[in-house]
Amino acid sequence: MHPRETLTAAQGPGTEPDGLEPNGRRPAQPATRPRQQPMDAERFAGLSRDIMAAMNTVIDGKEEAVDLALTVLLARGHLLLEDVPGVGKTLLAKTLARALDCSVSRIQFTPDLLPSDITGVSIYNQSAQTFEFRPGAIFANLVIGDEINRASAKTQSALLESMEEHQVTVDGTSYRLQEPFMVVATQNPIEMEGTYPLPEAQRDRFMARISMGYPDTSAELAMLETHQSVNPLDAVQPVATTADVAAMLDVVAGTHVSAAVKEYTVALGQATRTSDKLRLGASPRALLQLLRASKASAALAGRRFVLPDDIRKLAEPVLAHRLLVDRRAASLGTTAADVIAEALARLPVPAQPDTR
Amino acid sequence: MTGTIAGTRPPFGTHDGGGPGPGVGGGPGRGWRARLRLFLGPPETGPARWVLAVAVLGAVMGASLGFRNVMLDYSWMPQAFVVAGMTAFLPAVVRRWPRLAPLAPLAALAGWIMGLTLTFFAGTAYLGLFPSARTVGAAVDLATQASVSIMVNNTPVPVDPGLVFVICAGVGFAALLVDTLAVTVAMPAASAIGLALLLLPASLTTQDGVGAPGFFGAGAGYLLLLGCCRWYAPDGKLRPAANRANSGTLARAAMLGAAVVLVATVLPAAVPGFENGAFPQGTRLGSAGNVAGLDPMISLGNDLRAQSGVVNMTYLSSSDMPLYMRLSTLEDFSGRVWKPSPVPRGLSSGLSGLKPAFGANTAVPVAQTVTQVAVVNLASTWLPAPLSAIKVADLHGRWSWNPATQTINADGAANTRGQVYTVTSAMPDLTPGLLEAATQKPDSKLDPIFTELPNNVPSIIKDTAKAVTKGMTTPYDRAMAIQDYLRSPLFTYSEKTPVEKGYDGAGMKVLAKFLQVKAGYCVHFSAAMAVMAREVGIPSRIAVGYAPGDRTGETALADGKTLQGYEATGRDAHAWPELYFEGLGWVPFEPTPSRGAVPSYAIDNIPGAPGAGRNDFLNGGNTNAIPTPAPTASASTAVHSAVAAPVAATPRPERISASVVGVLLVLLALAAPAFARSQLRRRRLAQVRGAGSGGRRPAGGPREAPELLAWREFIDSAIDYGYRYNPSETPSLQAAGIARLAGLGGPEFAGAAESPGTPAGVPVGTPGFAPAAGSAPASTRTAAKSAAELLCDAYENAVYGPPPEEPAAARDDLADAVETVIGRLKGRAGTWARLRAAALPPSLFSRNR
Repeated sequence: MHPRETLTAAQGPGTEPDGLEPNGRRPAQPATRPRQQPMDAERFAGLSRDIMAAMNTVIDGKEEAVDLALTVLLARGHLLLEDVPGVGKTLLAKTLARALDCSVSRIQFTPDLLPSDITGVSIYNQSAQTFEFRPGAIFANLVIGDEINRASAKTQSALLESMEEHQVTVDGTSYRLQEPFMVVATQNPIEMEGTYPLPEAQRDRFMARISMGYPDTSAELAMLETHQSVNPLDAVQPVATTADVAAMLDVVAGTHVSAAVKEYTVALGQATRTSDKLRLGASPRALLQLLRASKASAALAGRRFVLPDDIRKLAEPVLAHRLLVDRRAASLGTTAADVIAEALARLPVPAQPDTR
Repeated sequence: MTGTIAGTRPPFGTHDGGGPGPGVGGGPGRGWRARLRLFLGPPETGPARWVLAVAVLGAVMGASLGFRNVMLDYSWMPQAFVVAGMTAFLPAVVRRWPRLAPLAPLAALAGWIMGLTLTFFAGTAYLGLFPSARTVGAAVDLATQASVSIMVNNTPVPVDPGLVFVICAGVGFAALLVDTLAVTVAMPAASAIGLALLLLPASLTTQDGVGAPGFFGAGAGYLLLLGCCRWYAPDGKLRPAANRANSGTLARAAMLGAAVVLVATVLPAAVPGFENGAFPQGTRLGSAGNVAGLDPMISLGNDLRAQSGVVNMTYLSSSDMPLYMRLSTLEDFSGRVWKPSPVPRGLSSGLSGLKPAFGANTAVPVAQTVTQVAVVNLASTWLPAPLSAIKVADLHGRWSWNPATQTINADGAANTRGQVYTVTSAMPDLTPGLLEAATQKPDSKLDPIFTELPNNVPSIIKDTAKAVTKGMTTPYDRAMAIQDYLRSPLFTYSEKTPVEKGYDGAGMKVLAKFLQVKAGYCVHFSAAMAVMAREVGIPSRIAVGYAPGDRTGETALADGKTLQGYEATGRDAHAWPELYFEGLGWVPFEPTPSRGAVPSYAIDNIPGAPGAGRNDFLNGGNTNAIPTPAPTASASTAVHSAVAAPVAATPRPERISASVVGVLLVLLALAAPAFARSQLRRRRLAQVRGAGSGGRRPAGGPREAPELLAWREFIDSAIDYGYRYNPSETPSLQAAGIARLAGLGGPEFAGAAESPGTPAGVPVGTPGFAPAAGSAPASTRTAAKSAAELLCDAYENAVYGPPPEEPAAARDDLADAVETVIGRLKGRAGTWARLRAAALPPSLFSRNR
């Protein structure tokens, strides 16, 4: 075995495999980020406001998508964007990366993409007489996976494993990925030749799924106006460093979740499992991710604790893509979102204060 | 068609191609059951609901012991138990499903109706439980019957199906009320209303009041209920296991209870007004087993004042003169309460050949009289009989003759109720001449109890006796002088004056007062004559019984004699003195003006009172028609105000019974929800403001935090004014909804009011930072809106936020906010909504939180 301890810090410009965009920024921080002063609520609120403002200058009329992207980032999750091409999926991910001043890489998934293109590969360095690890595209803060369903299942799973573990294993050696780490994958919903739709188990690894949707008339007009001559992405100034983001992650992790909210989450999960309109309900991991996303959402709203409102707000984006609608119900036009809305309308909101 | 079985789920990916077919076959059945299960939610576990049902039942049955003095016996109790049991247990069944818990009062109502049906009208009902049209008819009949027997009977009332029905209905209704208040509404303390309803009839209509069993039963039941509610259902939410009460609570409760009992027993003795008066009835813990009541004199007065027209007995008599029917005699004047002398032991129980201990000489002519008595409505251990009985026939039970007092009293359990018997008596044919001749000293063998006077005879009695009999030499003359004095116009017959002036009953002090005021009724007149007779050396005793009643016109023939029919009613109850003349025996006199019939030997011309005593022969009971002379009236009003407080409420207890009690019950029942609601609101806001907690943490822990109480009151008030509470809405949505209801729908709540599932871009309000601080309360509108926001934020913080570091502090701002919102809601509600919110607040009946 060869020592490779230098590798995580050694990646940077010039090491990108095919399909990666040039990334001119400074190298990402090491995975073990330095401990720093806990961020206070005001600073957190100011940062999140700034990030969203910066993103909204580029993405017109998609506040919800922007909000959710930031929520997922702060909840250490991954985002699945499911929409037709050309509605700004990639732009959203890039804007987020630019606003955060962190590294971004983009992978265009194709049927012939190999797992090593994603994770990286060990190459024999003749001069040093050693094997050197060349990190793949996954070694970035923000990874954009375009049309993830066009790659073979093997390649998909290479990506998904690193998403879950926040590490990559090549030739028996594990490499930590940078923090923050977030994959924004896009998926084309239209059935096409040669696509491999993500199986349920893989979809489960994405914290949330949204569809961008078309902008409304005024937003589209504004988009045509602003994007005509200049690239608004260039005007975006980084408003937060990765260190800031790491501190924000700490704030999110410290958000209080009351027993009542946990009860509510579990009740919601059980409601999806007992519903006769669904073939597959929400998994425990789904509920965990829902709670984590809710914590981020609560922190973004300036609260130190999660409200049932956060759960309600995030239930559909976090849960809907993991649920399988029963065929009979689907034939009647029922969607997973309908089932969730129904369950939310029925479940009583627990209101027992924590007992000490 | 296909093999799909209801209840099973086809495996994933099965392509049976059945189309809609299996959906029809399997879908609805499965869906129905699953939906029901989902709707009902997880069932309650643990014994809480059963414990509470038993507590409610125990409290109600304990309080129903208070009917002891209303009814003659406890034979109605099993039926009442069944009715109350069904009323208490049906809600417990329903409470298995928390979703159905608000319907518990309906279940209690159903249990009440079914229990009554099962107990009384099983024959007319479907399956014995479900009332049919005939059941309703039967119930109306029974109720009518009951109202009749309430109207015509004195308490204690004989067990009669109608009354039992009414009592069982009352007990069941109390169970319903107690269950609803204690469990559904979660106000166990207020459930005392239901228990008090059960105690009211006894304390309002009976002489003895509730009695010790009822008092202790109701108290113990109430404590049981309070305890069980605290342990098993604090704040109206059933708990699977009992909440361990800290020992301090029990000790405090025990001390408080002891103090209350002490005050209740000591106070009546200490306050002068309680001594003789019968008020307040509830505080008298009547001694158990005393059929005749506490004090025969007071009972008599109560009977008279009641003016009861109920026929207590009828009799046919061969006597030319109307007969006094004697029950017992009072001769022991020594105590505070005058009593009959103790019945000697070893009396023979035969009732023929009866002889008085000191009767008339054989030389005195005797008139044989036959009297056939039928007791209709009188439960006494003393047998009504004319004086000088020599034989009593056709009696049930064992009775014995007391020759000293010439009374017949029961051995053991015998009772006069329903007895029909014949008394043969040998009445000495007395004339003034014979009496005038009886000048011998009384026989020394006569029991001294008939001559003794206590040392404390007030001087006014002695002086009056001396003055009245001045110059009279023979005992007869003296007796006549005393009788004439008492019958002179100086004295007024009044049943009320003694009560109003606080000298009702018997005793030397009472007598002195009577001689001053010169108004009273038979008790006072007879006692005065008896004492004054002893003062001048004539042995005396007071006979208690019935004055001759009204003639019925009925006649019968027996032994060749014509018997005249009479009936004696409650208002014929009477007392008169009997004086002993050596050689003639005991001779009745009639000092009471306008009552009874003066015996022929005792009629004298009274100067200055022409006809005052003459025309009252058989004048019926209409004594109240006699005008009260002016001096007494004015005196009575003058003194009235001074003495009124303790005793004024006493007269006519029975009259109050039917209508007033009914109206009271209805009013109480109607006012109960409004009262309960306002008490709840007052208590909650007081707790929010920190009053009563005395600086320490509220007992309920975090559940009783001011933020939570304020929120509950906020929601309940909104529900009262028509807000449709939806438990699956989050607090912010609810606050937004209520703000809209209060006419405050604004953009501030737009974010919160969004439909669920929408990935909202706007953060949900900005809780955590007090919104009220920024918004200027320029108008009530903004004030109320920020009030709703303030409440919502405080509530969210308390429920979902991290546990506070320091104990809950008083939140005046929240209480003010609740009041602001209530004011706003009230202002916007229509008249009808406002009325409903006040009288029948829906929040009381929809509490499921």
